[in-house]
Amino acid sequence: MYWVLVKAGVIRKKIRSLLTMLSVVIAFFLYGLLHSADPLFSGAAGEINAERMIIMPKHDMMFGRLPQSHINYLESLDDVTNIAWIDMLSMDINSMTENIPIFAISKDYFKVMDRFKSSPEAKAAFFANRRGALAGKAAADIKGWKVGDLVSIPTFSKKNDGSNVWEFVIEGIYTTSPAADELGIMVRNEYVQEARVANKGTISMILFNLADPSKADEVSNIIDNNYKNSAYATFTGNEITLSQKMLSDIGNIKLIITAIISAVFFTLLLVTANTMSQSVRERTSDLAILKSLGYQDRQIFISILLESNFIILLGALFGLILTLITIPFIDQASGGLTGGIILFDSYQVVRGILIGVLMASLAGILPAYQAYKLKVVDALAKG
Amino acid sequence: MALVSINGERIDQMNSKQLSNWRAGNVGFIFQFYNLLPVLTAQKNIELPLLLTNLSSSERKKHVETALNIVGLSDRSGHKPSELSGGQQQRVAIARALVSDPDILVCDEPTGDLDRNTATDILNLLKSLNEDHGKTILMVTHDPAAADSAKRSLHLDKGKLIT
Repeated sequence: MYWVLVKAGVIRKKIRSLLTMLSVVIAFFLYGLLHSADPLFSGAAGEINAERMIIMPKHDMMFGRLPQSHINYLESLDDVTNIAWIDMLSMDINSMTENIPIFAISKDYFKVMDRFKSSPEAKAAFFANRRGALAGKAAADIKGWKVGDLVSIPTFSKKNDGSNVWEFVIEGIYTTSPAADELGIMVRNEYVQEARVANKGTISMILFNLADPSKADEVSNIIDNNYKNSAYATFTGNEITLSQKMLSDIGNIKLIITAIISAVFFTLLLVTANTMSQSVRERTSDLAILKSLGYQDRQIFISILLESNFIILLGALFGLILTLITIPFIDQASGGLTGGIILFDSYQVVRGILIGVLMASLAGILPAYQAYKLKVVDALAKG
Repeated sequence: MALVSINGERIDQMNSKQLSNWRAGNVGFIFQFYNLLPVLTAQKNIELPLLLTNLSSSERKKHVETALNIVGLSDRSGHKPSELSGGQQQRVAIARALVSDPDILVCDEPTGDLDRNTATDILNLLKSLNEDHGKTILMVTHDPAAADSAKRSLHLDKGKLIT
């Protein structure tokens, strides 16, 4: 019974129904795309986790420096187990696919950052060669690098010989998740420290593990308090905290995106409610006829609500499907770098559908109530 | 105080839901302007009252075919109201009114929007429903010809019963 009534309502003004549905498709497509990037804004993409601790320069996380002497202090702390450090030799965040970032790593880097994988042979060859390098898979794919290649990379750092072009031999490939972290090349920190002119004895960040991960906050506070009044103040936290801190330095992106989606949905709600209300007003006589045929007020109420649900849920479904179709193209366009970051899982789909049901119910409830209260005699008289 | 009793049932004491159920089972309505749902075919329009019953799809189809046969529109079942003439639309409306086999047909100016020849056809059809199918027809009309076809006429003037 309801399907006949819903269908009659939807196809009565086909263009209007189609345009309303289209606006719902666009809104849910936007919802899908923005929410699929949630891991990026929560700082918890791929295998980034809370068990790996990082110390970074407090006031300039991207380009600030820390003296290597901080490592000596860290070694004196009881709960600290593995310690590694890293120096970003070259980092141009505006063209990372063009100018592959160079990370000068210490010996125990792979112990601490065990999410970076490379074969034991590749690692052995890397640590046996002063100018050895491990290329990230994404970087190797983009640049066409192979094991054994001698690569020359221009940087902002000058070498002792006056050149700012650094040469390395690719000894292996590393992989990790998120794939965006494969966009780099790892080189030996000892070699970089010897060969560079400026910033000798300094590094970009220190990484370590804890014997007891539950002491993360306690140890972080000890370290940060120790350097509180130093020229090299620190910010210590786990990988997720650090990712979030770096994002919050840019702005509260998640809040901005939530605000955008909320505004879109609120506007959509008004548009749909208005459309449904107009549709019911135009059908006053049809609804009165149905009531005169014996349809109960409750049945008319439900049919209007179902009509609203049909338009919004069908639109939402198409919008979500469009998102699922689009994400692989985004990943492809990024050279696979968004893999593990841009995710649209079943949770997002279910949440989208629930939002659709809520919106449809809100948009349809007033028009449905109008139809519910309609008096047959008055409505027929208005005709 | 007014009292409305039909077949022993006090409809003036019924609530909205009871009235809906009672209407669905006992009364068919025919309007001056046909009041068909424009997006549905003749067959679907006629089927509307049956959707409130427990009849299966095939049973509903059978009932609709019977109603269409009675009004002589079997060959127009797939047409939408906009594809039918005024007389044909009124026949569809009559088929819709009688498809659930009600005892009473309430007609509000059933010939008011039709030319004389078509109006005569519709009046003949109503007469046949009364005489051959035993339907009680309650008709409101300004048309003297339509009034003449009734077995009993009551005259209302400005809401007052004259004769």
